Amino acid sequence: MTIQAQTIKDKNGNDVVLFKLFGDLDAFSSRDFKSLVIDFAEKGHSRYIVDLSGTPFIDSSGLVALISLLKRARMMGGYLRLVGVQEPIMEIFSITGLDRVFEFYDSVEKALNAD
Amino acid sequence: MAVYIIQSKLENLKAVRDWLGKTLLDFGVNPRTRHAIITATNEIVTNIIVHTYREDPGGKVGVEVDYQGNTVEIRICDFRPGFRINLKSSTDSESGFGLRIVKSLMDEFFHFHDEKGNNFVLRKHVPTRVRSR
Repeated sequence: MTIQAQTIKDKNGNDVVLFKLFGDLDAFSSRDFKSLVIDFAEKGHSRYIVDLSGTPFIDSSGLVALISLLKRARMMGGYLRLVGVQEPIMEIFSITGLDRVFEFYDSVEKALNAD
Repeated sequence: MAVYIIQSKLENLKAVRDWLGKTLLDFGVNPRTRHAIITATNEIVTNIIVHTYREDPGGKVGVEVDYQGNTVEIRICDFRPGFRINLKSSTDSESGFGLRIVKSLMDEFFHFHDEKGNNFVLRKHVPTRVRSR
């Protein structure tokens, strides 16, 4: 998996970390993702968007990594928004009940402009 | 029937998924069912690597797939005699999601332990009319 990270601004001018994931998020690759998340969290970031449009597969370890990021964000008063979740992956969110936990958006732009 | 054996390293998960995807495609299984089977199998193989072998790369995991009638059967085994994996505690240790995913996606799922090690059997019924390449 390849992960791109960049800092952008949301509609209120707040810094948002955008992670773009390319490849499968499984028990192996989620460790790299977790490490990257910790790096950004330790720098004080609390607002995140994860673009999963390039992720055709996710497993329970990947879900746990996203939950970990969500908890970090909320603990610091921020948010985590997911973008571009493909249909087979959405089914995994639904099975685990996480479709009611995460916020989903069609595009990064919509996630940035959300209330 | 097709068989694939890997060393117990998490970096091999992708190879299992790729092999299984190609095998199921060759069997004519539709994309949605392929994804379900691959996802469930990935959960079990991960479980074996992490909990049976504790990521010791010296261990091995076998995956066997067969398609008879309208049912795809996946058999996944480790090769650690005498170690009975506690499925509930191992899959619930982080989130409980793994077992829930497997049970939701598969029509049948069971686990047994014999003299060779742990064995997991997954079955998925594939309606004939949606079989496709």
